[in-house]
Amino acid sequence: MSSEYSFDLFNPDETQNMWGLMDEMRTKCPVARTAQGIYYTARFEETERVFKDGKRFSCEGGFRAPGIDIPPDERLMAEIDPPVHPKLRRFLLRSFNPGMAQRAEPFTRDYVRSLFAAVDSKGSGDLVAEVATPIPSAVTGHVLGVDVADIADLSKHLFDLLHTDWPAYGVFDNTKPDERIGIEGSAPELAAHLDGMIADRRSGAVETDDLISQMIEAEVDGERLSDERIRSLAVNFLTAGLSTTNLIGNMIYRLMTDESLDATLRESPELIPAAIEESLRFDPPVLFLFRTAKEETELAGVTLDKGDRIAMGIASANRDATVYDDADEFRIRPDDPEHLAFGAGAHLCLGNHMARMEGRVVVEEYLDRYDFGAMSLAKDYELHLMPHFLEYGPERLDVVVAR
Amino acid sequence: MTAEPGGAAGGPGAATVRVRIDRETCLSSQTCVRHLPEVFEIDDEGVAAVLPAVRDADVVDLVEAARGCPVGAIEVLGEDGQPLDID
Repeated sequence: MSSEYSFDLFNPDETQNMWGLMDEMRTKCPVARTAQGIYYTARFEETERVFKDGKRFSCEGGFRAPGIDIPPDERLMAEIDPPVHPKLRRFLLRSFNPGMAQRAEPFTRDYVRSLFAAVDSKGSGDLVAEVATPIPSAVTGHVLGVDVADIADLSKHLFDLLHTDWPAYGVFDNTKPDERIGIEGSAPELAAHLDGMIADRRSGAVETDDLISQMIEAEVDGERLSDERIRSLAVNFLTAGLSTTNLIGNMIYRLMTDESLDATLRESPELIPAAIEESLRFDPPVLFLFRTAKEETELAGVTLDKGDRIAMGIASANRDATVYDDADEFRIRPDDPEHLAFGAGAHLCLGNHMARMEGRVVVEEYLDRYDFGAMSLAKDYELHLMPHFLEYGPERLDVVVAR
Repeated sequence: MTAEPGGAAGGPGAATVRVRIDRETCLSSQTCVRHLPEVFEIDDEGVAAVLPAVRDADVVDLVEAARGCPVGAIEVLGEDGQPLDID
């Protein structure tokens, strides 16, 4: 372990540009300490192990910067441990499963088409703001019970959240880092909208069987869920969809800039799911996730103390040459082991079926609608990534559409 | 080969085994699905289920899948009904 492998985990300029450092770490320092003193696992083996070992590694503290504490009911699913986590997850699995993704596909396809049509009618647009961001918001919103007419506004509030320090600090104004004001402060319009939906369903003003209503009716371990919990879960699901925004942005960018990939998928659309998986491996929407050691433990020969925080290096693990041949090459590889972009273990992304379906539908519709080059990046376009330390996806995709 | 809630199995060169998934324990980590996608799937309740192709699966693979489950929801039972474990 050495300080030459140290980096600033909360700085996107570093976390989004450290592929060379990751290569070095995997061979020379597989468990290295970041500038914050957090242990980063660079190899597939240790990364997967930490994900799967709920006995040794706790989720509490989650995405928060060191020292930040938030009320239990505001916690994201990835921040909750047993005994509460398995009970909530079991309840939510009834909604987040392959059948639900299948049932949401027609809505998704229609919505994707309408978004592409809107860009076409203008002849240009920013695909991240106008396509990649609203799609997961709309599909998750559809399940939650958000009116599709409200999705554009909500998408914007969700998108803005990624330009703050949330969830690390829960602040809205980066110049006042001492004001830890949670989701209400970080995204007041979003919070208000969800509060309104919850209140309407509680009062009976709106009667539906959407997921918000189900969360109101649910008894988890004999208890009802509080309004704060319901709102936090809704925010959890909606903001998690922003990771799907990265998947969609990464995939469309690749299709527009890699003519041979485009040709392969046009000729063999049955390879689209495998291409999505390779995108998730190679350009993981979420670069790493957090755990805390519950007891003294050892990883790759490094001793961690109880209470030490770990960043599970998803992006680095996904490039592990001991797992993937030609790990630094993007190629469709249906027989290789699955990546860690959705994590692993008991907290495996609940939305994985939805995200995979959305990615596939977007690619199918894009290929169906546009020949290669019919939609292309604007002449002076430069790729910049979403400026958030956890995220990996384009901030904008300015395109022009040939008429 | 017998059927059991959760599925039936056999395999070349193996004694009759049954695969049982504890649906109350399963948290849909999809570890078993990743390991043996022909044998395991996630059903409409969101938890793991055993597919008919389990009867073509190798017992060693099934035991590995059971071991790999992060919440211990999978049991491979031998003819005597006792959980199998292979060294």
